[in-house]
Amino acid sequence: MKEPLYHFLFAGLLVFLVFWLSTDSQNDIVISQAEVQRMSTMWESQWRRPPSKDELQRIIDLRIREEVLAREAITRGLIENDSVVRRRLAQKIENFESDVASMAEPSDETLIPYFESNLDRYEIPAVVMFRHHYFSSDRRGAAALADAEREISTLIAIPTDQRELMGDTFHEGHDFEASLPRLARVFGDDFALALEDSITTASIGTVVGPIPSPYGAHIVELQHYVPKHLPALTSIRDQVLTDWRLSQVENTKDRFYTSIRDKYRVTVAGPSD
Amino acid sequence: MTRYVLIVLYVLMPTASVQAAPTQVYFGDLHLHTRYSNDAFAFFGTSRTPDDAYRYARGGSITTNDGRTIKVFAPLDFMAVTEHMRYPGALWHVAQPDSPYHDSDIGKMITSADPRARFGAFLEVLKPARATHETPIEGLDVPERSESTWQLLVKAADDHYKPGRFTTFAAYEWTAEVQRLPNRPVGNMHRVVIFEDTVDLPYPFSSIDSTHPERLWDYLEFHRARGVDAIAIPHNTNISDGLMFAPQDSWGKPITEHYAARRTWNEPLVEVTQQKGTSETHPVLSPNDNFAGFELRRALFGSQEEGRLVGSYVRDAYKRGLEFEAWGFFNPFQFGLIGATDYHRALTGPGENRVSHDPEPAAARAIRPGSSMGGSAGGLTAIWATGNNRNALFDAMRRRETYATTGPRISVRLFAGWNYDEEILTRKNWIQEAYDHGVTMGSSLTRDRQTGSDAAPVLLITAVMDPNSGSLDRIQVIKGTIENGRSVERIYNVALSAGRQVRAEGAVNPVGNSVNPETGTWDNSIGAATLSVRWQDPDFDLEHPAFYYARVLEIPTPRWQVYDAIAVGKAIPEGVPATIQERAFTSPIWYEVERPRHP
Repeated sequence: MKEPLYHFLFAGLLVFLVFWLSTDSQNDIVISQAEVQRMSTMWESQWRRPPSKDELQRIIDLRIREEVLAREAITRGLIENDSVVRRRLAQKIENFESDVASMAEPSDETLIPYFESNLDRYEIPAVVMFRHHYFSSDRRGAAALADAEREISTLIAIPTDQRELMGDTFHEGHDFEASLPRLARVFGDDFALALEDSITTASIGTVVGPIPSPYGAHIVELQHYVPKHLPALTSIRDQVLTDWRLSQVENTKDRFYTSIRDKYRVTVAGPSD
Repeated sequence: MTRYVLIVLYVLMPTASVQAAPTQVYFGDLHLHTRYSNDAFAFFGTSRTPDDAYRYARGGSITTNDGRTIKVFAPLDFMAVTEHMRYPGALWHVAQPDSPYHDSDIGKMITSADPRARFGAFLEVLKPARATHETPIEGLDVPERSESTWQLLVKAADDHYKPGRFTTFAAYEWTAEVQRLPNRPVGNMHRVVIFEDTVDLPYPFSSIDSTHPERLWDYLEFHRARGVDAIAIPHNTNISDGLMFAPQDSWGKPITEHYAARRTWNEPLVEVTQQKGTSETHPVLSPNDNFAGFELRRALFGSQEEGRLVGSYVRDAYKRGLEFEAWGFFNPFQFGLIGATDYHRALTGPGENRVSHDPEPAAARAIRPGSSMGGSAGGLTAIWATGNNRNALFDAMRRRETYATTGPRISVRLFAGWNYDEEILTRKNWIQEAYDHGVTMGSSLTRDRQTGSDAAPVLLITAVMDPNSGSLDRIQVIKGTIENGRSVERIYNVALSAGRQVRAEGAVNPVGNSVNPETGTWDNSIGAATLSVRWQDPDFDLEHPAFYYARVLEIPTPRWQVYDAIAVGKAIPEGVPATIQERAFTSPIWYEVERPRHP
């Protein structure tokens, strides 16, 4: 056993054995079929076609390279004090928690309070149904309003079912069933406000006005009015659910943090002397 | 091949126009940026998302950084968020603390307190796109991020699409900048690309892929062939340094009939007015137009230099188009008009009075004649369509049944036909008649062989004021035609408010100015609420092509600096106009001389 070659071979065998025995699953890199499929899909979403055989091999090689380097970096402790990795991990666990929240199926006991504290979001605007008699300022000039005022008593004297249109032709027609914001677009903001005011003071079926607009003056026969109201929760449950889930995501992140925060004893060094 | 394309166009055009007559005009904005546009984030720190943008446009409220709750002046009917697709979202992303590039060079630049450093970050975005083909700085070119940003934009559009009430489009901006000559500042060749639907969308073709518009058309045509239709809409032609409507293609070769057909089909519209100025015409190009010097932007982007005027304005382009038509029987510049905001703070809502609905408080907005990012209040797109949904609006854009306004919702109709009788406008169903016996804005009219007369076509034009803006001063017809071998333009005052008449020499008394700059108020009674006219061209020439478009002017109302000045209790600066005559520009109707048969 004095031959250096044997010493060398024996030492080599020993080294091999030690490594062979100590190699456990931590050093296996297994790229599963699912993982290959995922990489292939990612590639496809970007290039709009499946990767060729060579391209797929290249993606897999890159993936292996990344894995080997990443594991080596972890082994050598490079992960400690890396702010990017730390932020990413923190973000990951937060997102995981909030994903769970975003899939939750809350009961009505949970949804109703949320719905009630956000009523303004779900309100359905008021709708007015009316006929108007139009007195054009282009045709009558400053007399439009006076003409309308004169005609209003004539109109009231006629039974409702025998009334015919008086005045001039309006470019958007004479019969409306629309929300106040929509009417503000057709007749102007001031008209819509005046109409809303007159509805609160007059009753349905009466004649109000004349209400001025940038186009002239309008005698309005109020026919029907549906005030702004809230839909039943059941009819818009999906929408409320989506909004509730969104609101939960932020809450969940904070709750999760609070729940694990106490596991850690935190010491912040004071200013050094 | 060319003839084949033309045949296809001729076959398709009439089918588009035999649909039910559109009874309603829809108003919207097809050009808006949010935080994923790198300039929006670098210059304004815009942090709002496409989702915020759509919600706000529909009428939802937003809380501003200074704690005000704001709502859009009036909800829009449709909108498209159009991000720059050079590394979309890159600067916003690298500025986030959890970005892997936060500590890289680009991350340090964009998060710097020094605006020059942030501008430097934006210059890094421009570099690779400007023909120099420089390698992008680390952190910009991240394909996964670009892809996911695009997906997010499409999803926001789909989430807010409510057919019948609010229409959204998947869209983006192709932002190419080109130097006309070495040592010149760049000219904007920008286009907004609008997809008809969101099914099977490709990833956007950006100005990094190519700065040649013809390459963009290749992309559009390729995807159209597989059933995904889209159009490109040029904008800021005023700062294109004469390149947008040049008589050459982007390689400097003379325009051909084939080029004209491709351009017309891929780019049926041009955005004529927005925050960076109005591109209708320029006083030098239209010396006889008293209303030509409107909201001009003179300096090219990133420069103090004025661009070449010829090739930068749409009226001039229409005239040059007629010259092509007269000499070569093809017209490369046959497009309709739209307006937009091009705001970069994610919140649309044009209008001079921005005090109550601008994300920036009036005090923070510099009161100055114009900033590097725009000096006008922004415009709107008006579309006559059969419904408020993607198909109906897109079809209407294809047939150019659109017009531009400088913000107000003025309602304008324009028709032309040979047989409209004297009384047509007095009849209740005149609109249906007008569609049945003539053409509307954006279409072409050819001579009616049956009548055999040399009479001029009859134009029908009506305008209704926006009830929340100024009343109307007048309707004008802007005509272009060929005389003695050259294109010429004429302006006719065809309908006037307050009983004014056109004097013998063609002059008209001004409507007057009722604006009180101290209070920001005015008196609508000096103008008309509605104007309508049946008009026949007194100078019609059957042998030469022509275009006619309507320009509707409001009475003077306060310009945006007046409202801001009132809000902050200051005077507007010297040299800044206190009033503006808001207006609408319709897509033209073209009169086409019968083409000779090709042998």
